[in-house]
Amino acid sequence: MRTSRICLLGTLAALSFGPAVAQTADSEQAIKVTQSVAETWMKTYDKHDAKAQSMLFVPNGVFLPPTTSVPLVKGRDAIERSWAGLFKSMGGGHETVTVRDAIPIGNDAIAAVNEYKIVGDGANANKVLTGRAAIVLAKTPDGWRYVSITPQAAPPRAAQ
Amino acid sequence: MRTFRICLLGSLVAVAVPAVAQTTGHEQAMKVADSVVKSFMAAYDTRDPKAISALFLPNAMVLSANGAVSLGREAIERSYAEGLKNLGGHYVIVIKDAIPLGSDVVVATDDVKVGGVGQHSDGTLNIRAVITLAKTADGWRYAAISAQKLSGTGQ
Repeated sequence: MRTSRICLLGTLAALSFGPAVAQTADSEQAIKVTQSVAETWMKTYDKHDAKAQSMLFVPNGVFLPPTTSVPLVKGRDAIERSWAGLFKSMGGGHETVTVRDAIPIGNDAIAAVNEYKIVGDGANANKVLTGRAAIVLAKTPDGWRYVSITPQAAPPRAAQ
Repeated sequence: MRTFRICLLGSLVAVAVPAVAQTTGHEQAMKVADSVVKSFMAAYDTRDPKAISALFLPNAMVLSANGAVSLGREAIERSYAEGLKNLGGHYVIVIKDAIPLGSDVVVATDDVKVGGVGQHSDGTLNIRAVITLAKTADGWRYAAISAQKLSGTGQ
């Protein structure tokens, strides 16, 4: 009888604690995770390292360029080319990302909205791209990675 | 001893269930996404914002094509109520690709045409979007939508 009780407890623990313990917390935790990934993103951006940028995506991740006449970009290689093009047109530059909202989706995914600002370098120092982006992150064995980034550009303006 | 074995089996089954259900393939993810957007199109055609918002998780997030962010079902309901009033029209959504994330989440890209919009019901709004779907006890629901209005589009 005692064995039976212990086993029942074990079964219940397996059913309830497994997913519950692993569950990605609330919105606050989701914002922290997202901001942490964004910090890595900003570092790789400042190095103007398109390959490192692409490695922050899952292998089949997607990027929807804010210029909507440009087709959707899918996969790390294509994403790398896309960001290399942006670095070229901005003369490198610097990006700031601030996460505004995030929600956990189950244990291993997060949807978030952030605001971004990219300021060009050198001859492009007067170029500023701002806007907001919706992102989806997935937890992988290598850490959290972007599944998708969907930016919406604000109208272009000169640097302050 | 027999009871112990049965209970041990029970525990193992309980632990293994998520693994059995895991990894919906690409094809299955496409089917799931297709099914959810069909429900969305049907709900939109009823002109009932509550029915539309019921297809979303309670804490879902939408970045709409016009740049507005809606957080939560109530905000999403208000957003679609406004859309139905000001835009009207009829949605045609085609899933282009879908990525399964484990067994309970699907991320998909789609092309959206909202036809018959505007004052004279002769405009078309072209959108591309990423939708994130989550499996719940009530079926698959939208967790997030992020949309981009395509250039050269009406409205």
